[in-house]
Amino acid sequence: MTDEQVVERLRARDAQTFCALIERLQHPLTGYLHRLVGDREVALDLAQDTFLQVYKEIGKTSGDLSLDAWIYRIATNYGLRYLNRKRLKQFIRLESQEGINESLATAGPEEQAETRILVHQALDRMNPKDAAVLQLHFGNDFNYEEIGQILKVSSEAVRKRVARGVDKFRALYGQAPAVDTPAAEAQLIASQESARLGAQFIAPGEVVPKRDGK
Amino acid sequence: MQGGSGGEHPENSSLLAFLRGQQLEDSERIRLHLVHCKQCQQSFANLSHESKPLDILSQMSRYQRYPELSRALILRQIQRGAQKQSIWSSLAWRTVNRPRPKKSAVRLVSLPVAFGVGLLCMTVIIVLAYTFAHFVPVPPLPGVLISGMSDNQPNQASVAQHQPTPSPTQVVTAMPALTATTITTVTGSPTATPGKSNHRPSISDCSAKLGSAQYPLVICGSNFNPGDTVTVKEYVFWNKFGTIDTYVTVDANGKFTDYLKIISCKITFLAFIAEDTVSNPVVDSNSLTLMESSMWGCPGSNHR
Repeated sequence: MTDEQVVERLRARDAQTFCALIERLQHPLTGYLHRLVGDREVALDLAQDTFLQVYKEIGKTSGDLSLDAWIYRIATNYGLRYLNRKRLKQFIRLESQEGINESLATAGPEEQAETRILVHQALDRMNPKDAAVLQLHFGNDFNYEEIGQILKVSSEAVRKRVARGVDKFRALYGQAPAVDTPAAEAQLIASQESARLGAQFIAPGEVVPKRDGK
Repeated sequence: MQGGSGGEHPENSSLLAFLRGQQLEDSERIRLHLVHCKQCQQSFANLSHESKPLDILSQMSRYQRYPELSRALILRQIQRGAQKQSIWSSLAWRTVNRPRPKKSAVRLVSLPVAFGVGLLCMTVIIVLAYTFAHFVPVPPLPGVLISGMSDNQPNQASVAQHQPTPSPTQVVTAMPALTATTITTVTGSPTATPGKSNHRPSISDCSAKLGSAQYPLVICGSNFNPGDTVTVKEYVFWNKFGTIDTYVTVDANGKFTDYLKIISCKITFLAFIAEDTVSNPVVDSNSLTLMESSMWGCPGSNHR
């Protein structure tokens, strides 16, 4: 089924097509949101909100809609809005700065746990929009044109934004206090332990799923 | 910028796009340039090195596991048109229910407390400003007026003659020596005063009789209750409109004399009124209006 057909059926409120859409996109979308906002539970909620919004708003769209880009745009907006509110709360000190979500630290081989923490800490300290661009490109393998459709900017703008993001990332990545503090060190040890257990759990019978949707 | 091979060095963003395999209009040119340009090769290598940690994001996505979103639930919610619990309400639930260190509780309380303190401070400032604006009299007389010398000697000879029960509007031209035209306007109907049933309290300008170089303006009152303290309200204009109250004691004959010292000729007296607040009911005098306030020693005054 082509994207156009899917969009037409979604506009016609076809529940089966909607379920298929959720099935296809829920993991990559939730993963993207998880890496963006750093909280697994929040990412699940945001993903659900995104699909609800898709169902509600698809009827109002017109023309040749690029479905995935549109859905990721909704998700990005939700994620950025959440991050902005979170940062505001942290600014007025309603909420303490929390460390990396453990489920992110364990999402990969044990030997890369520290790198994952460092990368996430650096991205967490970046402008959320820049971080979102890097997440879309490096995490979800969207090309510049697709990111342009998601963010409603030109490919040229995306090219410059990715370069700027990498530049900022490089500056922050070196500074990220990953294991400088006892708390971070404890977190790293815990995440490595969890990763080890997780790897054991996954390795025997389960094939690591490949991305089938973006 | 010209490279060693003659072509322009590509921007870092183009190099990064080339590195990431993105479609570029000049990707062939960049490739050829990189073959020859050591500087760009170095930049390319740096970019590759710097962006390498980000590749881990792609790996992470393969390891991330999530429970299946309940499609049936989402559909049911949509079809029922029910309000789904939003992200913010679920966040609020988690915020309330998750165990918090005490420090966080203090932080949670600090915001409304800070807001309350701020509000209180603002209220105090507004009240103070209002008080200052409304209850501070005309400038504290840097050479404006010194008054309040009351004369309550019963045997004082020079008291103004009391007026008979005035007609509603009575114009009195008095004190030619002062060159002041006084318009006395009676406000309200004559009121009976205890002990002086036919005479309403009144004031008059008796500067001509009692005025001196030191006290050029003298206000005399009559038909007040003996022994009462009377407030003489002076309505003046000096830069802005204001009132000055002086207090005099009524003598045994129901009269008082208020001596006013004029220091600045810039002051303009608009009107006077005497009010006996001790009396029950409170009684007011007529209002005394000075049409011309050329005072002793001031330009235009006949007083020398």
